[in-house]
Amino acid sequence: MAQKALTQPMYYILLSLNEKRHGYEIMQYIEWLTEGRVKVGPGTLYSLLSRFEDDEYIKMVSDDDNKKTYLITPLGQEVLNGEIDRLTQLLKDASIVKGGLENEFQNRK
Amino acid sequence: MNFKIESKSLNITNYPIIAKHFEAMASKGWLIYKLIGKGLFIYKKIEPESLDFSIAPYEIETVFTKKTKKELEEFETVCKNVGWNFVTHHLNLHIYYKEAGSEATPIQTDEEEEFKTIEEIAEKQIKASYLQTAIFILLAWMQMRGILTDVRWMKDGLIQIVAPALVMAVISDVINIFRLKKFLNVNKKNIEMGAPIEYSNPKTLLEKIMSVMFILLMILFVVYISYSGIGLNNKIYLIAMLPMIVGLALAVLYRMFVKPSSIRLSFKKILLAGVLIISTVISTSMIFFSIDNLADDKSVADIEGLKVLSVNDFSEDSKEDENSLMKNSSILIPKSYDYGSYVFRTSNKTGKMVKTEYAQALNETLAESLVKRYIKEREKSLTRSAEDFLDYSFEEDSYQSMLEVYALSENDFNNLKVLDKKEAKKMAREIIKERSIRKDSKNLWDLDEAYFLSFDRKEIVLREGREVFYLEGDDLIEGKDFTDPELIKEVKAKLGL
Repeated sequence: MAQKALTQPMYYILLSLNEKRHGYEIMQYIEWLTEGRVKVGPGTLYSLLSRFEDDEYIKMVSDDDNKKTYLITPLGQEVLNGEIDRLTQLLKDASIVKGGLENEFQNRK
Repeated sequence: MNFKIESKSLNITNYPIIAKHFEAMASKGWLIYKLIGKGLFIYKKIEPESLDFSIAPYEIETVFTKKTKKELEEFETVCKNVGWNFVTHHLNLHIYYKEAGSEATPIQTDEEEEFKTIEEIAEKQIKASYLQTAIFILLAWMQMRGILTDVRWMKDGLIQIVAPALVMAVISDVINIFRLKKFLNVNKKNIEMGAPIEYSNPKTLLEKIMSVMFILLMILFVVYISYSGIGLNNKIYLIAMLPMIVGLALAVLYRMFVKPSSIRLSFKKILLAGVLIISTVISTSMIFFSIDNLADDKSVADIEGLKVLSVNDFSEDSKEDENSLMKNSSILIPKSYDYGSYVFRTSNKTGKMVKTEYAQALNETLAESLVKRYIKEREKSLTRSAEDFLDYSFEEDSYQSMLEVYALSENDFNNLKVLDKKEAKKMAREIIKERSIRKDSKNLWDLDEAYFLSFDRKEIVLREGREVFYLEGDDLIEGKDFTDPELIKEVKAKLGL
């Protein structure tokens, strides 16, 4: 079965966990990475972290001073790569339309 | 006043609406401070301020959730770091505020994810509500089934408080289940279509009235228990509260010492199971073994001014060995008491007893209804206690002499046994009822109503105006029953009739 598309916060959280990070760090990292375009609130973040941990997309690597630190797992990496491929394909499709290559479709007739 | 109380409810189907309400209250100088029970908001006075509120659904730690207290602390710290101040929480809903216009990342930034969180919470609430409703229905049925027939239902004030409260709890639970289900169905579709979550302020007028009534009934319950226990001196009411107090005390200790501690969740679950077992064992053992003894203070009940009969009233040589007095008060029967007077069996004498149940109803119609209930109850108890003898007699085709007590002679049995067994037993029951429960058609008692309730005429219910007496006594005056003019005269004099 094809993997369901990730939502924007899902995508950025998985992306940010290529490195070990705790909750607040993840939020700051996403804001920095997207130059403030994307903000993930604590409610959304912790709900997703909990679900990702259940689905084994991420794992907790340390738990110090009330801060749990997470890292993406191979399964999570696979899901993320799948999403990157999907997004790449979307961009490629968009570039066909935007780059005027759709004439090829007309010529095919 | 530095505080204000409001009756409203906060739940997962209305929390953004309530957040707006908190903003409006803050602008009027009231900051939400605490939420109590299902529907009381407590505010403290502040200078009117323009504040933004955000209410975040986040599961709290219970033995039924995976979330830990530590995780919640981390969540709260991060909320604080992004600019939100914690106020309080109500179950799984956490209330935060910030100054209006100040920079802060919203707590929820993705509606789909927010809906998944509330969906998870709602599904658990629905399951818990199913269980709670089933328990309440069972309890309500136990309390309500005698509403039209039981004497107890008219005389017992406690039942008249508890039964409506249970019915209201059932209605409230059912409404809640329907509301949550509807909320989930509508919003599942909304999320699929990319539409926003639809919230609604759920308190209908009916629910508002019910919650006010529920609070009033709870206050009435406490007042009634205290009045019965202290005012009417029925210690049994106070002692009957002990199991509940023990259970509550253990629950409070669990919340104080076990729940906030950092011990593992699996161990907490074991401890919770232990606490439940211990409180059940203690409560049950109190109910079955000692409550009556604790209430029995061995002192002689003071019957001065009460309209009751005592074995001492009828015989010079009989001295009451023991008595029992239970006073009661209810909405329909403001004044009632049950008195039992006993002489124990000795080696050469048989024991004696006389019971009086006195009731003064609000009006004559209620008193008439009480008389009917005594008759109905007696009909039931007669057929129930005779049933085994009837079964044996008709099944084995052998007359049981005990049936004579129930007014069914051997001759009657022989006439009936030719019929189909089911029909014969039905007719036998009718004979028993007809012969045992009889109106005082000769007007021996000269009262508004009088019905003999047993074949030996040693049980009777009397009504004069709004006063009702139920009397039961064995040989009060040797060989005489409640049809005897001498005994009637004496009893009427004692009871002021």
